[in-house]
Amino acid sequence: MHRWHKSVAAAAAFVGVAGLGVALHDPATTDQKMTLTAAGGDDQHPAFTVRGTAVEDLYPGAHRRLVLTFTNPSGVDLLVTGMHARLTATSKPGCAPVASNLEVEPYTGALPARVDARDSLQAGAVPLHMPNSVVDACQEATFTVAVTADAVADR
Amino acid sequence: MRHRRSRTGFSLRFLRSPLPYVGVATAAAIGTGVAAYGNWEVKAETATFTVRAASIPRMDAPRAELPPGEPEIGADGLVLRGPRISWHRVAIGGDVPVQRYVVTRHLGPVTQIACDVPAGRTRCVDKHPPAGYLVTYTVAATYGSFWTGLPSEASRPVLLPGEAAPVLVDGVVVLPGSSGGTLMPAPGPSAGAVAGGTRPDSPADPANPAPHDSASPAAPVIVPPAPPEVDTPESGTTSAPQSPAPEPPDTPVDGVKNEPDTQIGIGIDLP
Repeated sequence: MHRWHKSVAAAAAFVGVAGLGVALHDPATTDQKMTLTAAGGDDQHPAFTVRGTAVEDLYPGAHRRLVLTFTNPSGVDLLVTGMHARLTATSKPGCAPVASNLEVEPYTGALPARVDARDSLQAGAVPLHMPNSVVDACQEATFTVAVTADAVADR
Repeated sequence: MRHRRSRTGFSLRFLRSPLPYVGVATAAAIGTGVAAYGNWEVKAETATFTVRAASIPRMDAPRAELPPGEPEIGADGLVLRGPRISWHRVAIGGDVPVQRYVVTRHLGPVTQIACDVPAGRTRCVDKHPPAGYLVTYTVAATYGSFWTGLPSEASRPVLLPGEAAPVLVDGVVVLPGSSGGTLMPAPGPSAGAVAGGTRPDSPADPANPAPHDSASPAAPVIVPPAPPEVDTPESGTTSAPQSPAPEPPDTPVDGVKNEPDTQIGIGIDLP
């Protein structure tokens, strides 16, 4: 093999290694914003799952906690840096998804929360409060609370 | 020139070699793979949870009975001590006591709040029902400012003592009848507001005409005492407060027995 010939091959290999290095140190990959999903993932699309305890029997003045458990089925440790919850819908037309019917308060729990690869963590909770202003139509209504999270890969 | 040809010939020979292609392909593959790993696609779905509100259970029919002893009828045609109504307590979700019970008196299609008592009570007395009428009662539990349970089934009818006379309820003259009462427009300009009301010459129950079916708009009427704490009676068996009540405690207790009973609201169930 000619010397120039060898140089081109070496340069091509260097590009590959450099690509690996750039990929590993790209802030966009290590600080990637991830959205929690309630569904399981697979090897191609790792999913960070979150589960919550059942909350029933809300009534005017009642306080409840939606306790969350994070499960990380991927092979990478994760740091959950933020949790956000909001009221999005109800099951009854006369019961609007507004704070005067159900207050979804900020997440309470230590952040960041580290979730090791292929492990679970019982984290904090989303407090819920049904105010006294809740309308009569909200009896037996089902409220939908959407939860999203900010997380980073912890390598 | 020879040197130039030699270089060109060498370059062509190099491009015919598979080695550089293998190197570039390897670099591209590594780079692409790492990029895919670094930008792994976490499903962009938001986790949703559902939480469920409780409800106030529907109560069983209350029990209504006249008090023992000789009934007393006031000069205004009202029974001084009316029937005693009792009921069984209910709770939200099985263990959270409700906050109040509202008992409604039914004079046929006319409804009036007979009692509105704290949840510590399981009975009340309808203090001033009109004499001579056949009445039934329903009870409903309430919680907070706006939550009200469905009214119970009606109690067994109670025939109030004394001689019945027409009464004026919420702008409507009520004539006693076997079904509890029939309606006729009240005297004056407001008479036309009684949509669906029954004219004196066409009682609601033709088989059992009201004993005072000869009553005319000029006939004397009995006006029940104005309910306390309510300036303007509203239609409907129950009505929510105009402004939210104070926040109830997280864990209701039966420490509200000192709250006064209230009689509020008058309504007419029009067909």
